[in-house]
Amino acid sequence: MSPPRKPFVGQEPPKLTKVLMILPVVLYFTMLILLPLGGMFWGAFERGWSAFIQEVLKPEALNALKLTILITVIVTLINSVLGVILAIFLVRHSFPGKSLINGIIDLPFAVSPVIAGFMLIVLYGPQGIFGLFLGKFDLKVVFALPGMIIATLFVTLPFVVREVSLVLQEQGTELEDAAKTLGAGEWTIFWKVTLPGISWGLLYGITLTVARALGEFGAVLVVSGNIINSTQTATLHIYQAYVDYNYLGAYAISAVLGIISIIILVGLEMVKKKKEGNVFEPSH
Amino acid sequence: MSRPIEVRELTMEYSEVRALDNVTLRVEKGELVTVLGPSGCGKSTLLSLISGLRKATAGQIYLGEERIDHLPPQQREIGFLFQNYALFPSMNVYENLAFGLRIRKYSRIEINRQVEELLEMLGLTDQAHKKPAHLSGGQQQRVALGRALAPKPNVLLLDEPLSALDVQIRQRLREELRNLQKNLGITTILVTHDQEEAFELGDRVAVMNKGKIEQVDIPQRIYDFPATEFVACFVGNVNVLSGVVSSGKIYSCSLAMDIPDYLKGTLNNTPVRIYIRPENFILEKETNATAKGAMRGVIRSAVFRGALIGLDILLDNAEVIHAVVTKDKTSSKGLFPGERVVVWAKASHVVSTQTAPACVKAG
Ligand SMILES: Nc1ncnc2c1ncn2[C@@H]1O[C@H](COP(=O)(O)OP(=O)(O)OP(=O)(O)O)[C@@H](O)[C@H]1O
Ligand SMILES: [Mg+2]
Repeated sequence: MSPPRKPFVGQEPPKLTKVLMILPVVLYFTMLILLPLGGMFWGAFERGWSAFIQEVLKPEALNALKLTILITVIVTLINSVLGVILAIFLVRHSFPGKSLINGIIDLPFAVSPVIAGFMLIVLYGPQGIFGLFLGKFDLKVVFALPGMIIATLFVTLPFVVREVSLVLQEQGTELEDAAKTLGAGEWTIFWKVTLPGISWGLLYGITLTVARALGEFGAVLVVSGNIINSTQTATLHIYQAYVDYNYLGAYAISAVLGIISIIILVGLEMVKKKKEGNVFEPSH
Repeated sequence: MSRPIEVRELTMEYSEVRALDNVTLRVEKGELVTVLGPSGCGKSTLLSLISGLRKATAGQIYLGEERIDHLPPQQREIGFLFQNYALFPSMNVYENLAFGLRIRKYSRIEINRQVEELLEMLGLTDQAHKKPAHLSGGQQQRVALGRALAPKPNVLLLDEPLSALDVQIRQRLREELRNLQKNLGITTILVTHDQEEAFELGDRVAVMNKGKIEQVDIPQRIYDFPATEFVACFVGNVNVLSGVVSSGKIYSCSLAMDIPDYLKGTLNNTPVRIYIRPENFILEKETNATAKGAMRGVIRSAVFRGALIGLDILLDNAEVIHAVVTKDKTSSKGLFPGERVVVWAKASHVVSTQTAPACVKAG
């Protein structure tokens, strides 16, 4: 009989196990994100800077980028304000039909953007109920900017509402109650107490909204009619360029959108760091 | 400035629960009344109605002579200290204290003067620029107190102000709170489930149970003359003996006691429960020739508690009673574990004919 051996694993150099555990993660990450990203940038700059710049500065490309940014800014503003108001109503107030509205808000997550686009056409198209009415005033919704904004509003509606609802719920009503007993009116309470409490959730919701608005394709494709220099957004332009075998053009605009997204994400990360830094600043 | 506060016949019903049931209570100018009751009895609900954060189902609230139950909380000038303090996390101590003053549009200089004064009074001058998250529990509690006091409210409501704190600092803050309240002379209602806290802090104590106030009185009288079965057993230690009504007296074994006025006219043979405080038993050794007593039993154990000794006595009818006697008496009378004793009771506290006990508590 030999004395019991010490556990085998414990004597293995811990380095190797660590590497074995991290390797699949790195591989997965590389395959899924780094390689396609690298490929895209490589494709965009394959023929040098000047070729890239030339693609981006083409009038139809510039117009597409401008349109995308315009839609994104408008949609983000509207959905941030409405999202906060909706979240406050859903979390802090009770009214008939509340659970119905609560369910409807998630609808854009469940419905394909293409279907969302078609729903708008049915309503606002030349033969639609509202379309016929608006047509009398020469107002065009479908195949024009308003329709594209509405479509993007629809697909990005849940982000701010959901993120803000979550932090509102977590925050509870006690802070607001305390402010009331100190004499604060609704408006002061919102700006001084509620908003600072939900700012983090709001920022996160806005980031998701911006990212989604920049990248929206399906709903916009259906309602815009994809008219070059008029209703063609950046994603539509990329698709068009790809279909027309202009790969450089597709890569170049993709790279621009990619860079915008990366800047937003890095910005968010920096704000987060700063905020955490505040919380854990050493007490003196 | 400080004014009396009064609630009359206040009732609060949540969808199914009746959290407050016809509560009437008056707190005089500068008085501190503690509301004592078990968890869920409606203490926080009472405070939320007085502060205006919730609307009562029925009843009236008066601040001095002025009826205020239609006013929103912003117009009541009633300070509220929340159980978890509810300090504004994004503001530092100074800004938390200044919040109510800024709303009242005081000048910058005036706000600064008042906040500095509060910081000084609460010993928080060095913490003025810290966020609440960086403060100890005791400091947070003081900031919350200061914030509620800053606008010089008519009345101060405190919802379990000390229960989130360690036992060690609780005692110290209790005294601080008491001194502060007396110095400011502010009308105060303090809610707690801690009996010691309620008795030590309250000019008067209101004992609450299931949404009702069962008794309001000075602490000593709450203890000595509990008005109801619930008060008798929720406050302090008490023995519960079973007894029976017989020809104008109550008997437990052969211990006979006068029947209290509120049970006069009760039929013979009605079973009753008798509540007796541990210090109200008189004990003698059974071998003592002069011993006269009603109940007999054996001392099961003795617990030393400083000047007092707690004795567990197993009666011959298998009931167990808990008595407290002074240390001198145990030695002079020879009351030690194993001895047989006869037991007499000086006074009963409450006698009840209700079938279900108001609370279950070891004697
Ligand atoms: N918002 C509410 N909706 C429904 N029922 C409630 C609500 N708030 C309190 N209740 C119920 O009302 C009763 C009294 O609650 P309250 O919070 O006033 O008790 P409490 O004495 O403060 O208890 P605790 O010591 O646990 O804080 C409880 O039965 C509770 O479940
Ligand atoms: Mg409570």
